[in-house]
Order: sequence, then structure tokens, then C-alpha cells
Amino acid sequence: MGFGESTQGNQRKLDGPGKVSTELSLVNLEAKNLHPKPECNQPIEHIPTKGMKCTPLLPLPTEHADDEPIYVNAKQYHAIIRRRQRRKIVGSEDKVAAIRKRILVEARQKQAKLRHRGKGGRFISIEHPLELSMDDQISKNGGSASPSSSTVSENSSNVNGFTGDL
Amino acid sequence: MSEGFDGTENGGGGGGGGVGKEQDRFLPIANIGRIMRRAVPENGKIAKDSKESVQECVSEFISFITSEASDKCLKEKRKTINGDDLIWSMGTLGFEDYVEPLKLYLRLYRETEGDTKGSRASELPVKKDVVLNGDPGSSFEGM
Repeated sequence: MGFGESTQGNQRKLDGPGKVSTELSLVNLEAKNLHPKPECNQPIEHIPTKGMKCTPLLPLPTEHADDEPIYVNAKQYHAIIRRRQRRKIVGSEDKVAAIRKRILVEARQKQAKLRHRGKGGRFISIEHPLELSMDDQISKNGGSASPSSSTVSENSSNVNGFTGDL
Repeated sequence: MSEGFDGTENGGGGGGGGVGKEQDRFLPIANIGRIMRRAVPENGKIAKDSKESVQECVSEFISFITSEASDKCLKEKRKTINGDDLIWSMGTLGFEDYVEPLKLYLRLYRETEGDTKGSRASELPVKKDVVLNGDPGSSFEGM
């Protein structure tokens, strides 16, 4: 008998306070734990009219003006408001982190596009110009057309490579 | 080669920050699933979105209680939140019926595990809240 009464008190309190999702989950948890088979479902906005303990309720402002106000336990009103403000701050911090991450990714992609690439798509760096020049020499030996123009292109590519490295 | 390099830095920098904050805000969902399974028959299953909903609600409940306890510690100019502060916080926020079982639990816990105050004490009370949230039936049966 005593256990039953305390259980009912708990259910009533858990029904009153909190947001809709919190009410749903807490009520579900309560129902699961009290009854092995969850047969009874409390309504979301069940307001206790009679019972052992009647707690005063305060209307909680909702984000949408059209929605009806959600009534919460007066003891929890200020704590809920405080938690809402803190969640906004945390949410904004997460947004800032996400924006920073995206900007970083875009900057790196842009930088990579500016770098010159050799054969096979590899970036030209201090180590790779040697391979490039060797390849050019091989192509020179292979093809005998216009050696002077190929020399000029090689010089320009080397200059560009060093500029890119810097 | 370049892709791996960029990926490593991206993961280390921005990804770490984002993932770290999310991990800080929510409890691990596997542990929550394990706790929820206790209340479900062995042949029953729990949907993933159910676990996610309970994960959000439980994490918010912990922040709710801890925020009130933190305000009390600020007023009293103390830096460490202990179990008594959390129990007082639950009483203040309208969960009076939880106070006596939790006091009993805390007393028994301190007798068995030793009364060591500090960072360890501040961490474990939150864990106890999770346990009680997972299985309040046992605490009532204990009474």
C-alpha cells in the first residue's frame, strides 16, 4: 500500500514537470520499471487534479507562439530556463566549431589546387624535380623535335615549381 | 599521399573538437542500451531511435540536476560537487521521493567503497544517478 502510494506520487510528479520529450521518456521508463508489461500510457499533458501531493504549476514559454503553454513544476521553472540558455550557448559553440572546420577544409583544398603537379599527379617538391628532369631528358632523347623550345618549357616549369613550394 | 595528409590534419583538428564536444555532452549509447535492456524481456529488442531518445533525455537530466548543484556550490564558494549536493539538488527540483533512497545508497556506497572526497567523489555520484535512472525499481525494492 505504501509502495503504491509513493509510486503514484512519483508518476504524478514526473508527469507534471519537464518538456514533452522528457515527459515521454521518463513516463516510459517509469512504466517499464513499475510494470514488466507496459500496458498503461500516461497522457503527455496530464495535469494532476487530485492526489496525495499537488505541486503548483507554472506555464513554460514555448518556442512557437501558436503552441499551448507547457505547465511545469514551479520548483523546476528557473532551472529549466537556465538549462535552455546554456543549451543555446553550447549549440552556438558547436556551430562555430563546424564553421571553422569547413573553412579549414576549403582553405586546404584551395592551396592544393594551386600547387603544380608532375607526372602521375604527384606534387612537385624539392625531391621530385629531379625525377621530372630525368623524365624530360628521357623524352628529349626519345623525340628529336625542337630541342630549344623544350628547354625553355623545362626552365619555366622549374621556376614555377620553386615558386609553388615557397 | 596528399589526401592522407589532409585527412589526418582535418581529423586531428576540427573533427576532434566537434566529436569531443558531442562525446562530452551525451553518455555512450551502448551503455544506455545495456541499461534499457534490463527492463525488457530477453527476447525483446530496442530500436536505435529509442536508445537515442533516452540518451538525450538521460543526458539532459544529468545536466539538469548537476546545474542546480553547481549553482549551490557557486553560492557557497566550493569547487567540488559531491553526492550530498546532488541529492539536495534533486530535493530542490521536486524529486523528493528520490532523496531518501539516494541518501541510503550514498551511505552504503561510502561504507563499502571508503569515504574519499575529491575528483573521484564528484564523478561517481553522476554515475549513480545513471544507475538509478536505469533501474529505480531496485532502489524501491531495497526500501
